[in-house]
Amino acid sequence: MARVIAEQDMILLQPIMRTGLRFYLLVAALLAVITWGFSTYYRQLTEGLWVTGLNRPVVWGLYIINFVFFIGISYAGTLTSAVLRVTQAEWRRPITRVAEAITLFALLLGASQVIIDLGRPDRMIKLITHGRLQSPLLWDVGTLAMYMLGSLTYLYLPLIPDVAILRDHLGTQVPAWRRRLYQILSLGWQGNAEQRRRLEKGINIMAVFIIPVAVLAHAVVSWIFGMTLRPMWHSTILGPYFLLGAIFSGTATLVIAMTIMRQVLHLEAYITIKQYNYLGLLLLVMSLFWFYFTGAEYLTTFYGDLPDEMTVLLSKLVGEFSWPFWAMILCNFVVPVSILIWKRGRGVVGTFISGVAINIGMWLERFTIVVPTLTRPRLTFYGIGIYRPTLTEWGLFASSAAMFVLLLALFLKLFPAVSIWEVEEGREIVAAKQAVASIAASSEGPVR
Amino acid sequence: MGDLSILGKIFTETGYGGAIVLIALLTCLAFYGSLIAWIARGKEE
Repeated sequence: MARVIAEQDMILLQPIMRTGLRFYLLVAALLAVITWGFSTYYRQLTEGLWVTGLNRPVVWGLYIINFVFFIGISYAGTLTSAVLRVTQAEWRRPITRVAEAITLFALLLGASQVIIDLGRPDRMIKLITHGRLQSPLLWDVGTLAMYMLGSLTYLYLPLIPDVAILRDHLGTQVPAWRRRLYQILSLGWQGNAEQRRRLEKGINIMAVFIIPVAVLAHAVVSWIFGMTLRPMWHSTILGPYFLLGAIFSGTATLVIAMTIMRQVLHLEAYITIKQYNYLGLLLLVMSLFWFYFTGAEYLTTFYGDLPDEMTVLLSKLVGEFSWPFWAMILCNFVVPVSILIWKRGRGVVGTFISGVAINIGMWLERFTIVVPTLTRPRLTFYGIGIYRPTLTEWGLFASSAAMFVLLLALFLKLFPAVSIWEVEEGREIVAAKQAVASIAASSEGPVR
Repeated sequence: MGDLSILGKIFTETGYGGAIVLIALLTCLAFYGSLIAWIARGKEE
């Protein structure tokens, strides 16, 4: 029995059925960047980490900055989908799919940065064979793997009814391998009452499960820094600060992705000003919280006046790292607050500009956390460290970003960008509420 | 370090940590897998 799809939702199947020249051009451009990245990685593999700007004492650089950045933006799915699902926020429905996809792909790219940073990827296995439970690095491997598997499951479950729609509607319009793929992934979905009950229950279980796992994963990333005794890392605020930053950058990435998707796939009827207004408000609140957390951390360090801490602090405020620091304040606080505080600013353009600024600002924040501290170690025989990323590192950064976009583009080529069944369910809820309201109004009758 | 309790050994000796992480991951995989299998069996009801 073919599952029924509303006429108005057929637009969601168009990008899956038809592939234009623009898509091929995008894929070709992304593959070119990825190939460049792989060639630089091959050089690093064969010649060693000396081809990077990493040194003693600056042993972490762009790779670890990107690792924290990608793990941060992975929070998009958990927040938007899981938190809003649990709180039954109806406006989430058109944007959950892309949020969940961002989560999975950002996690994959984030994890790959650690392997790149290792220099010798074969040593990854030693984390399992020689890992000690007291090491935050092992906690990180465990929680991130758990988070990744959970995100994959959480992306897959709400996909099942939509995959069944694709299985029933696309027929010979797509190649045989895709028909086979939809057949397998739909798990024989027919949409009967028992299937729907189990699916709803399964999604709710995963939504409740994934939130603490995501919180833990982001906290553990911060503890890799916080559990060391390095200046401006050894701080109790780092866990919540990373978590807040993850929500902040994850939401900003979601805004960017949904705006591009809205324009390219013509989803104006689904992604409306309501989503922009709510996400804009969320970004505004997060921006204010972020500023408060940053201020609290820097003020406490400044009043402590410990020599090691002050060296790092001053390098950020007025020293060699002042440009990324103040650019970070501009991008994470000044720009979004000045735009989003106004209702008119929380439209498509204003929220998109804020999202872009926040992503730049959050990358700079990761930079100002990782590099300044490492250039000024407590062991003074190292002296002041210098870190200048090489073309190898920039190449791998660009190819990682390209890979993220490519994975997202391919995903949207295979599956609907908007969860069709959830949007339909939302319409049914609205219709039911309207019916109840009209019955209530008519039963009261006219006042005589 | 010869007087470590079992808990101390688990925390500090190599090998235990990796094994615990692997067990946790396999438990998660089994949980996710059984959830998907349970939903798939819904068509038979």
